Amino acid sequence: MSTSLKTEGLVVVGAHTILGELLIEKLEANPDIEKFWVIDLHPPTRGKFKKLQFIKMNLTQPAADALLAEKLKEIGAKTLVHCALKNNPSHNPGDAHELEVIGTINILSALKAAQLTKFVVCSTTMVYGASPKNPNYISESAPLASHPESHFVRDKVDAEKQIAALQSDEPTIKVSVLRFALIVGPRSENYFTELLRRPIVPTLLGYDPLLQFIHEEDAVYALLLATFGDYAGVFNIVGKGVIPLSYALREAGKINFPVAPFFAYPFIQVLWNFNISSMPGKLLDYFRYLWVADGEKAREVMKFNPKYSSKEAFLDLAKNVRIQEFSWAQ
Amino acid sequence: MGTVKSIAQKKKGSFWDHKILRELAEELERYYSDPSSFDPKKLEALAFEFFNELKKVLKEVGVLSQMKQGLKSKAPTAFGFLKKALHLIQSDEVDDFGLDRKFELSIKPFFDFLFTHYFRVSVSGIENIPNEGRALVVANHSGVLPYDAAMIKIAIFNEHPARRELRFLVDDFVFHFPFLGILMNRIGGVRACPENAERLLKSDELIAVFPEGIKGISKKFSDRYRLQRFGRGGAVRLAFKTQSPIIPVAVVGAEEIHPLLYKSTTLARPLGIPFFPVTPTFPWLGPLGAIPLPTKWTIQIGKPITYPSITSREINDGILINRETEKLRETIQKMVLELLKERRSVFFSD
Repeated sequence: MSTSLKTEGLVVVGAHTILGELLIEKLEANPDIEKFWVIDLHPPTRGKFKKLQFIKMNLTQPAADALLAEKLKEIGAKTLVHCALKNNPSHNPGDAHELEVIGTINILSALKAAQLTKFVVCSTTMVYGASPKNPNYISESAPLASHPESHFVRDKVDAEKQIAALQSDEPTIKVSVLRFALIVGPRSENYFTELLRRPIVPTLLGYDPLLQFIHEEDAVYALLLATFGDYAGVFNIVGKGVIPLSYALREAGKINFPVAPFFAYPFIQVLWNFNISSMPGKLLDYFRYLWVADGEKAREVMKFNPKYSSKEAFLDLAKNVRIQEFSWAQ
Repeated sequence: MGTVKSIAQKKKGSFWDHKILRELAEELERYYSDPSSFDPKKLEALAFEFFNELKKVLKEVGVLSQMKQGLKSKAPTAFGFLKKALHLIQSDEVDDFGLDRKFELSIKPFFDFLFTHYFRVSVSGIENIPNEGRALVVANHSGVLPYDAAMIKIAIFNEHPARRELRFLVDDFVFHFPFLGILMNRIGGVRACPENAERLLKSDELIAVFPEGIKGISKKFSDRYRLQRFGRGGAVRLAFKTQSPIIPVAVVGAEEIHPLLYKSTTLARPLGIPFFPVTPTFPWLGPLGAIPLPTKWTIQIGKPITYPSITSREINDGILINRETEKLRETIQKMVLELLKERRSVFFSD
């Protein structure tokens, strides 16, 4: 999977999302790589890195694009992996918007100016939106959610639109967009895994959507494939199969507390405002309707075969949640 | 009333000889032939008596206890029942499209009852369903509530030697609804869209489509057995694209289960449903009015129609698709008319 040419001038943006963290560790462990660069506000905290060169930069500051372009030229960057799209909804949507949309625009302008050849983005299948009008398996060519209510999803859709524009404007840059399903695993921390840290989980009365997961190991493997291989285009990175939400909660030993949707949206929003819920009410649509993506293209083109199915990935998470609960109780 | 007990002990179908049922059926049949003689009060009184009888018959046949056993529920307390109802739709094992076989089997006794005792469905041509491989079952759609889909599913599952699982494509509005959406999904329904249908056929499943869609189930009683436009030819295009045979199916008897007198779209809009039905019993009798009338059904499964393989350009040929769709519609219409010619009574098998 690795050719020596592609390992030069590798830049990772975002060291504190789950994929950023795991990717940096994998790159550090890869003997073919002599040096790579990481751009973020704060250096990575986990582990010791010898090959890693940290560049401190705020992507949202004015003229960040020019600064980034200069840096990229200076280090002779060839490939940029964009892992700075947030895993979790933010209590400060304004800041999140600055980072995700404006930050992405800055990265894209810098890419063009510094004439990079490859650009990999970690997005999410949430951009398709959850709706009863979705097919059971959404393909990459499906339109993105047109007016998502949640800031979290809207920013991602916005960022993806900018990236799609780059794809058509600059054919010399190979752009791979990876849309990941819910990433779960022992180290993942997102709004869904947070949900399982509570004994009682509110669900929507009368709805039991089919959920799809990808294990973090599989996710980072797909990211490495895209970074070192030549796979331009959009790919859904998802585990095989689906599991119903109610089954997931039972496996994790949680109490399923159904709330009528009419009350649930404001109720969860209030809990979110008080920092009790791990997600705002507007994200509840994702626990109501279908948003399962079709991973066929990644299997065929990238030869990406996830080790864990959706169910196995979830059970791995559930196991870890139980272990943590047990050690808390001790 | 001593007759009730003997009713259940008699052979299947013979309890339809009961006086009230016969009176009710005759009243309805008279009304079907001459709408001006409609006497709502008499019908209402008869209907109430009929529902009382039905309750007893249900008890005798033991459907409810069978279903209860299927769900393994214990003594029904109010809380226990609520909990059960919530857990009813929670699945352990679902396949890629959300079908839960365990749940399906637990509610099957109810549909089996409808199939053998209530609608007394007679099925012909079951051998036209292939033992394996993809096929597209296309049927006429009627009866306000989609009992016809359920009956075709049961017919194929019970009477076909390979006991094939039929999946059906469901209009999107169903998935907006609490409970109904999950229920439909867990018993094998998926949203009707080309992506889903193609994927299912490519994995060699047997799927049912009702190209008349909402227009079919919402046709007025005066238009009964007059097949509506077959959508935009999606079924035929799908058959061409995936090279699957189309099996035409005609259902007779479903039109009269809920005779639709009037449909209101104004009332339907706030409820999020495509139309609000007004039948002789609904909404006048409340939830009781939603009980279908016990008509006698016939399902005829026709010979499979295979299509030659064509180029991708021809698939986009609207005229060809439209012509084939119209041909298919005529085939099913003809089958329906022939069954109607043979039928002597709406309610009785003899």
